Amino acid sequence: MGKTYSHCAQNFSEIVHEMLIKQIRQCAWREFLRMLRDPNLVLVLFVAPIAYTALYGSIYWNKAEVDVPVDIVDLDHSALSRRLWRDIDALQDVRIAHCGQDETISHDRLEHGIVHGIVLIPEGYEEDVKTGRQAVVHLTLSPGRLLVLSDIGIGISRTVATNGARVTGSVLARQGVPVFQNSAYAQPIGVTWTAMFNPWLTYGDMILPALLAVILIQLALIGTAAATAAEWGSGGWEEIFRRQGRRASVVVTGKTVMFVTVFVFFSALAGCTVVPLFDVHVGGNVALLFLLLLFAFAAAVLLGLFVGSYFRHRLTVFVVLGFSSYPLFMLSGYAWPGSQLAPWLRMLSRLFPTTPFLRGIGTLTQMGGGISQLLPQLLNLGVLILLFGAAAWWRYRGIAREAISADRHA
Amino acid sequence: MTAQRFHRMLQREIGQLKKAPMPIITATILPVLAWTVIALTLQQPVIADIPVTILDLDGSALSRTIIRQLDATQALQVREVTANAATAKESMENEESSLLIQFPKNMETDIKRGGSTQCVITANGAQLLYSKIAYRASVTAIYGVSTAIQVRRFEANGLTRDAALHRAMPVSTEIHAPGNSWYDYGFYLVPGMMLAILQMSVSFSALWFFRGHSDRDAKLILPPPGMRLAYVAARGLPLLAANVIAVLLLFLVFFPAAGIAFSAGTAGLFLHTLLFVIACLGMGAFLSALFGHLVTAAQIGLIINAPAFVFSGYTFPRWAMPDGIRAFAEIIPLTHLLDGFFPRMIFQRSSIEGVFPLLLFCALFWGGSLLLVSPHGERLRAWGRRTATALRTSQKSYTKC
Repeated sequence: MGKTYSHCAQNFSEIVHEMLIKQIRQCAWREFLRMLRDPNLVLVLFVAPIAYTALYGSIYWNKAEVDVPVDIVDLDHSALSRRLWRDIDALQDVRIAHCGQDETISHDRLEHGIVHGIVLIPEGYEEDVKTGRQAVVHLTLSPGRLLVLSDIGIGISRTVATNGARVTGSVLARQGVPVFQNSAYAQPIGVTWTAMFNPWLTYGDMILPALLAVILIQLALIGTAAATAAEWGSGGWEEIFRRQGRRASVVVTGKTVMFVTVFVFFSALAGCTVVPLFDVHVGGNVALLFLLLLFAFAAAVLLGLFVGSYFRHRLTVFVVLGFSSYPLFMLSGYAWPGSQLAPWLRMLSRLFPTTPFLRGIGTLTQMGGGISQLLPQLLNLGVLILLFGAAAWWRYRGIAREAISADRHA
Repeated sequence: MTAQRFHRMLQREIGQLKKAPMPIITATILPVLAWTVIALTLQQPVIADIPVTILDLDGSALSRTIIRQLDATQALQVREVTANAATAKESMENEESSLLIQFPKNMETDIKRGGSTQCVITANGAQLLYSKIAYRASVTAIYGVSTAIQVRRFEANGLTRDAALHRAMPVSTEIHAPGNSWYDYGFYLVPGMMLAILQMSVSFSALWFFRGHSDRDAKLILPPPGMRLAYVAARGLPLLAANVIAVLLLFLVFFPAAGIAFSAGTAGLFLHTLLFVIACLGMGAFLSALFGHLVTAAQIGLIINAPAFVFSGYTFPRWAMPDGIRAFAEIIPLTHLLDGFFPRMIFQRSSIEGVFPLLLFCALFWGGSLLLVSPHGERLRAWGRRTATALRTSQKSYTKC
């Protein structure tokens, strides 16, 4: 008796399981066909992931700015000052655009954006250095450019210091101080500088993976929300819930499976085409990257399913969610360090999939991290999947009730 | 008669906007929300307290002096001092620290013997902003200690204190950034991002310009000949007013909150921004008239607006971009507004930079919009529809074959 009962129960669970799988598959397939029929959704879900990543990526084709134009105002006009500006010109990042003696002309050029820095060598520079008076070289940088300040500022001040030290070394050597015989004497503590993960400290190498990632995840969010909003217009909710018998969980799962599959596929395609084209460094394990994409898209799609159900038309989705890109990118802590954010804002940023996703992308592409480094981001995304999944299920249950009653009235 | 007609149209437009306020919400509420998040994000715009791990293999008085000097800088905060290389490496890999400074064994002994030593600084290149600032701060602090040692050595060789001081540091570099002497990163990012959001809000608010006030099936409205200007004025005025309110909020609330104070250039920038608003309204109206479906217009608007900030050359300079991309950047109105931002706000001078391109955009977008809603535009659209149908038919027959 007991055996027969357990056999029946097993059969029953297998049938239910099969039915559920079948329904989820049906739901996912319906979603896929609906997408193919809608040119606006085709644009967001099929064309944009490749076209957009290629367009954005091409900005950073050169990875770093080189030959930043700089003016030299040489008020000393000596052999030593000429040697200094020749050394500055030899820097990879710097190109001397003009060398003159009129400071106002160079300031005017700086204000008009023709040059991005001015090196002013003061009058009596050579004499000061040779006689042991400290000389001060002024470097004026354009405050209007974020990268120039740190890139050429460091290089030029190093060159100036080296030039001064060279002269002082000769003078001291003549006085009997053993600066050349014992180089350690002149520089007691030296510095060896290296950078892990992005050895040339190039902006393009740092920003490209994040930019591609943020495009993909925003497209997933906006595309899913737009597709969900479109259900209101065409009587889609009535149709889908009539088919699936009010099972909100089946609808949420079916839609999630379809959208995640599409986005993971296009991300992989972008990974095979755009990523090598722009020479984006992927230091980590590809399987881990795939896992991260899966988690991130699942969270973004579930958020899109939930949020999109509150919009009655795709147009409002594009208009309203379009505004979320900049704030979410800034909150993610990628371009602007997370530790600069207020603690409550940092916590809040964790509620959006963009933050753990971009951190994870940074860990995998830049730092070549492993599972232990990725785990916090995966856990964060896992919690978001549960949270948005529950929210979407709760919302769709409500819609199912409305849709069925509207259907009955009809 | 025209004035009466315009008045009637304006009243009707205001009535419709009350019923369907999406353009007004897009012009005012949505950008304010986005600006608020950005302002909150950049509340602490000067980078400070970058976490540093010290791998101190020497454990001497000298190493402790350097650690104190590093910790005393505004930019750095010594988070951990350890003698264990594995722990130090782990803190970098887990992103607990952004900088690792290693002091070698026998550092103090070598220095006392008249020799030298090498400190190894390793930065996390993935955190670019932190790396560059931390490099500057750490090198300055370490060289400060090195110079003090050097001065003592020169004094021991018979130089006076002053002479030793000058010989130890013969040339120094003073770096100025006019108008932003504290290297306040918010000063760059806040206006750039906020104006990018303004472009989005203004152009999106004008998407309904030649459409009925509905989200679904908003059909194209073709104003009858002779009424086009009255139509444009009646539809445009409420939108312009809403967007000007947003601009006022930006200048009176958000910019001062982000530390961008009023200056001689503010009035000029405000006028430039108003011209930018008219150009962006034109862009929205043009998209509204150009595309058959309003959703397509919104999508194209998103494609133009979303990357505007990165294309403008604000973070990554335009001269470093490939030629084609530089050309694309030129057709984005934001690029030309930001070109005029720095001359006015930093150098406090009146500038016409970026004004002519925006005037050109106004002429092109508004002229193009009016052309598209004229009979010529109707013929153009009909030709477009025919071509699209023909293409679809040929594609279908090709698939069947």
